[in-house]
Amino acid sequence: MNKAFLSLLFLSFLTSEVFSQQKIMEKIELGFSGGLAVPIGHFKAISVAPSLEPVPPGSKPRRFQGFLKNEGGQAELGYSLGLNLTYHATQSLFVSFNYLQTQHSIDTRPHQIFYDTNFKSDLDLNGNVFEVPGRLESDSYRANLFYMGLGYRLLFNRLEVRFAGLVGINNLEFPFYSWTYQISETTAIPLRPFPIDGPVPTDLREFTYGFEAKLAYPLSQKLNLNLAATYLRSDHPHEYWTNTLAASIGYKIQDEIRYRNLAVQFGISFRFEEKNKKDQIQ
Amino acid sequence: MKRLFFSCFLLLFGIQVNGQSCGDNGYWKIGSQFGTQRLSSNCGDFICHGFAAAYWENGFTSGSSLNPTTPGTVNVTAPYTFSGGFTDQYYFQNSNKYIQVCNQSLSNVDVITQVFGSNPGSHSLVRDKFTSISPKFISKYGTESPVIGHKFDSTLYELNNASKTEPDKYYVYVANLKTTEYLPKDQIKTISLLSKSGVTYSWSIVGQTGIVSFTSPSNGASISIKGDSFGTTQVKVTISGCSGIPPKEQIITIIVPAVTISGTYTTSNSTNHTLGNGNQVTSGNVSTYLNSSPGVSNYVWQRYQGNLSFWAHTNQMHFTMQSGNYVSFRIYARSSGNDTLAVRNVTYYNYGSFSLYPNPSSSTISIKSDYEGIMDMELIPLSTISKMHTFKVSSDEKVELKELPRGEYLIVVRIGEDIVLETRLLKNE
Repeated sequence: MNKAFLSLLFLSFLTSEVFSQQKIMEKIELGFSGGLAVPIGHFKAISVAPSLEPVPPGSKPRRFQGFLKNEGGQAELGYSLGLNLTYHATQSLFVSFNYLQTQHSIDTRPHQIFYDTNFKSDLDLNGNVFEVPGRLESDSYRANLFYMGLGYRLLFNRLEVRFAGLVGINNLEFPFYSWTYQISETTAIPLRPFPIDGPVPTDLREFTYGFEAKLAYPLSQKLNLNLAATYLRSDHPHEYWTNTLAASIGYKIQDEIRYRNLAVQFGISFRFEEKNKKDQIQ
Repeated sequence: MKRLFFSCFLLLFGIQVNGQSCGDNGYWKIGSQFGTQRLSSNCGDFICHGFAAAYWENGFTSGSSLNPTTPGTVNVTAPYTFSGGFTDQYYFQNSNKYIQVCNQSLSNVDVITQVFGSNPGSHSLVRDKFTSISPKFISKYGTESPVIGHKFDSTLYELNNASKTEPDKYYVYVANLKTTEYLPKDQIKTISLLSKSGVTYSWSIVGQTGIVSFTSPSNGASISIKGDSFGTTQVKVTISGCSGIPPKEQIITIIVPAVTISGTYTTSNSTNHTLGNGNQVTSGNVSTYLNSSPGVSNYVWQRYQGNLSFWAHTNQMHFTMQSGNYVSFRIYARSSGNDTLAVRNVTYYNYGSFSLYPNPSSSTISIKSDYEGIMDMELIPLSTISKMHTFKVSSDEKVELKELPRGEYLIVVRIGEDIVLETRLLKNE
């Protein structure tokens, strides 16, 4: 409902008046940006418990069932790259079409520490201690966001301040991972997402929304230097099986990645219309 | 491009030659050097626990066969699939189809569960049911291995030197009772579990008493039960294995249905005779019609004595009686689910013609008949006051009359309860 409402709200602003000008190119601004991708909230939080084997109340789990993210994405500080096309409908209103790519590595250390502390050592039938070293490896979060912005621009001398609301699609690549258990000196078995009654997810495509604040400073008649803070959020529910090669251990995982990212970027934008001319027109 | 094509060709060729799509033998340590054999070409949607249960519970899909010479496709039916949820390592511990046994040789064990720490965790293997002397075992390792036959201590984990963290547990499969069984009144039915070494069985009636009774000892794997009166009751079997391990129980509901088989029959010269257990009929066509009874869907006629041909269709049966012949049927009343609700045996017979000769007679009389059995003959004086005489006679056997006073007598000849001849006799000097 929220998604539909937000989308309709955006479209309602895109009246024919906005695009009624003949010289469209003169109102277009093309920009590139890059910077940090700062995970926020759930996306950054650390949570080991959901990854543990589910057990009846009162009993202790004996292993990990996977690497779940629904209570903590464990995303680390990453980077972002952006591309945007802005159409200045009026002196104040603008519409932007944006692409943002973010990448965050995933912090596996909390799980690794938990494993080493709780599951690594065991006693054999003779009471002798033996160890099964385990290692968690994970791909990074790679998000590809396509979104549209509807914004308002304020001018303070030469400095522009822009605010925009954003809606779009976040095509988040499923971060594949694997636990590897060294069950003997010669043999290791992996536990990893595995297709059992359906494919392992690859692209987790979901609705995203957020807002952006941008400072634009003109370097020349056509070039702007931008500093932008872009917050985007999206929820990516998904399910898959984890399976352990050569062991009868498998779990059906229902998980959700709650993407919450603040992209702090510097950028350059190119305006096809000269700034002083534009101001005369206005 | 050529190289790519060649690689694809080699890959396809390799698959065709091997006929196997599930892993390579090297990884799974399949080969005589390990004492192991590949028993399936595929992996299948099942893990060790589901395989072990399916193995004993006939849970394979049709066409599955564990063949070491030419391994084929092996799959399990829905309850045993991994994706369907059969992931329970405690299945054999919890299921009442299995009981843990102790101090048994491997030859007497059906399923063994093992634990190799948290990873790779628990494993279930089964005894190859076709081997008891020097038994072989069969394992499946997760969803990504083929089915593999091996010696007892040659699981993949043991071949890889994984450490066991719990003692092995031995289980036997005793199967399970049907939920409900129909038992016709006065009939005996045998109810069975599998007889396994190291297991004790104890049967008891836990429902209403008087409905059924045991006609065999109640401490075996099987019990014979007789339907004594109409009604429903429950019979429980308690299965015990290792001491200290809670026994398992199974309960079956026994229904003795209130169904009787009755009807009428017609002969060539009379109608509407009530169908009895024994029915003396005249020669010629005989037609029997059974009454409908609640719960009875159809009747089945089974000839078990005699050789007269007959035609039957559920509640009606027709045949032609021949002089001096007989035929016996067992009639089954069946429900729509093909359960037998009642059973009745009926016999039709015809003794043929009987005649007394000579008549009048002064010395002896005989019965002329095709009947080969013994008949009861009564001589009842009609003209003198004297006592009745009885004889047991066979056909053409002479009965001495010299001692009897002259006069008229009534001769009555019976076979069992049936009077087959009634005639007057004139005794001369």
